[in-house]
Amino acid sequence: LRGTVKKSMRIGYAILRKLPALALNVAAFAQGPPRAALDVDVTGYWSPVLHEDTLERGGGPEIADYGGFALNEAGRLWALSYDPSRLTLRHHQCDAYIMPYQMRAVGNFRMWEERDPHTQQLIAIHVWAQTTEGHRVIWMDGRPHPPAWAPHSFTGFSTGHFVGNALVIETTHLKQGWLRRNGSPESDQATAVEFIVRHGDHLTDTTVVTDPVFLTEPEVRSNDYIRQPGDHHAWLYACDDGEQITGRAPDSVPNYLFGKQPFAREFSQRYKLPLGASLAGAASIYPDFAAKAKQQPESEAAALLQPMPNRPSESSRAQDSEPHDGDIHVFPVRDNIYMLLGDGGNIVVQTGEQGALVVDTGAGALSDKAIAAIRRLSPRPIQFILNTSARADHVGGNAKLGAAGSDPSLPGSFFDLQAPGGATGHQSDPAHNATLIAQNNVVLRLEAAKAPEATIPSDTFLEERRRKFHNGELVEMFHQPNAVTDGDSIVHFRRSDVIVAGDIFNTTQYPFVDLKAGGSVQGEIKALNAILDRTGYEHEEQGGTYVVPGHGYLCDEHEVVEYRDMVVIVRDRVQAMINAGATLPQVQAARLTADYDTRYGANSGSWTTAMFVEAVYNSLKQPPAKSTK
Amino acid sequence: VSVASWDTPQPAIRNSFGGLDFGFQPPPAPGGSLKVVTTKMRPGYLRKNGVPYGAATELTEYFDRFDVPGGDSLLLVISEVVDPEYLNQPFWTSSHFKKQNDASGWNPTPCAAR
Repeated sequence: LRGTVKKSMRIGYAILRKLPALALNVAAFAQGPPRAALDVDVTGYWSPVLHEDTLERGGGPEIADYGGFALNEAGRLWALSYDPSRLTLRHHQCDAYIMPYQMRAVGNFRMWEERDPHTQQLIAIHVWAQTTEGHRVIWMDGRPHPPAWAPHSFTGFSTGHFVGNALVIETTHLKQGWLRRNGSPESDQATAVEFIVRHGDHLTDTTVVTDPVFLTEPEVRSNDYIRQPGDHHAWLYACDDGEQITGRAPDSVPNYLFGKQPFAREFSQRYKLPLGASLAGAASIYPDFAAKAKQQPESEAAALLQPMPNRPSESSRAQDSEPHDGDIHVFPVRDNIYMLLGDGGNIVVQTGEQGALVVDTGAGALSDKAIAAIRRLSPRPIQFILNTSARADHVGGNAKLGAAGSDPSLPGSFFDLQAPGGATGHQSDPAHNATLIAQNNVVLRLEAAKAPEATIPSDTFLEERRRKFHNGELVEMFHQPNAVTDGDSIVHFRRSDVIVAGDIFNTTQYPFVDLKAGGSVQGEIKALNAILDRTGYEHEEQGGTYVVPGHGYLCDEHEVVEYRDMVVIVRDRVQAMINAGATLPQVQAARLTADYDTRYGANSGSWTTAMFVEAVYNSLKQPPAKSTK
Repeated sequence: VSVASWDTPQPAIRNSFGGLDFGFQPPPAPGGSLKVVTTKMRPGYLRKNGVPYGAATELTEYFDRFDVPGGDSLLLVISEVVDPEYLNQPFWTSSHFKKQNDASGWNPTPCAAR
């Protein structure tokens, strides 16, 4: 058992009782006046010291060895479902390491300072990691962390300060990844605090990861490095994805169904440990667990390989990444593209000489503030409004934003003269209204719902693509049949390389697959893959194409990939139970989303976990006619 | 035999001129780790698989305490083992300990040969 808990966390209260003087040392979060700090010099070339973690950091941990990790049920099940073959998927081949793993990976580091050239004040400490070319910037100038709707990255956003003899670093905005290579997960909600101390040419980084989604208590690790006298000369880690397995269906994501991980007992059997010793989570950290593990019945431990059935689903523990303060918040995306948050669904604005082009208009509760924000961004009026769906929190501001705009291309045109009611049909005075554009099913859904005429798009399309060159770039709408609804579109700003996903993709909940409005899980997966067909990463599976979700924080393709994986994996589990003859109540009782509920789940509100599972089940039982793989 | 001291960084070289000091200034308050140097140990093993250390080994430990979010208090112990008999370079490890409120759950028993 000691082998399983070797470095994760050890109990030393006896030592602490004898060393009260140590309280004088680093106390990063203690109250009271600041102590004198040593601005420890961490610059230079560093190599990891693997004297005690060679297997962990070299060959990697064994499958289903989670001893000493405070994984909750969701974390344990996520790890057991993880199949390393997932890395053969094109969009996972170049995944960078998340920061807590990067600092533990085999590979050298280079650290250097960035100073203000005029004041010589320390602005930042940079870290360049050899593996996956991880470039960390640790801001030392006191700047705040970005808002919750800012993009995440594999290295996260770090700020640091000196306390005592340590460099203390706080990191937020991490991407999803794993803490160990056997699939022990870390969510995009994780944060980390590090303490870096230096003794001569020896550096130790103690990392404390807090993850409300997958951990019940912080995960603590210390990593050691030795200073090298010169440049290692090997700092690149080129990665381009390619075809590793050809002919695979685009909706294939390697995973193990619950209870079907074939190697789940291998570790415990090889080392003659009780099965529960590697699965117990936080309990396995503490010394009294040794006796408990010996007495735990095999059946009780084996139950940990699957979700505990017939109990309420967990709810999301994720930070709310949308503002709810009654204001519209503007976040620059790239070039002349902006994201507006605060009024339900995300609003996107493109500005330029021709006038603003707006994608979606929010719920409509804060339309006046949204219009004011757009006017601050664009001196020219809103000319076009594109709707990604007919959902209320994306078309709610159509009437007001439309009325606040105008389409100067229409008055006096040939088409205007031919149509006394105005070229756009619905608006009797096109010069004083923006033109609303959407896939035709959006119109049919809104008309069926008896929406006000000013809310209903007047310019529609029926087939796969609608395109418009506006403000110097091509803007394309791609219809995604039977995804969340039957009228969904994604919008791609080609020059800026920004995709607006609408509710096909969000970071806040399971996808709102609305079967009554023509949605389906098959179409949803296809739509997510359609987004991924158009995205590209800048470097190591991050950056590049930005993806604005219907709700939540600004993303790139990595978040879409993880979301696509989730929908496919849940689909696979439900399909397996359907194939075995299960009814919907049996599927619901099996808690097939247990490893994702702490991230996306809800037991109340307009879209619950049970509704999502029901939508998946019914989609698979009665597939929509138009959707395909 | 263990000898403890505060490991406060000292200037590599001190240059003074006319009462002015141009060298590195260590922090005025204790800001370093608790450093413990242990010698005269009986020979033993570094790992339970038999990796040995000899009688001439010198063990240097650095103790640091960190308070982390959530209220936990951690103790970091960094160890450097220098053994001219069995090692050709220093052996480094770092271990961390979580402070417990009391001794519940921890019931050590004396070692007895059976």
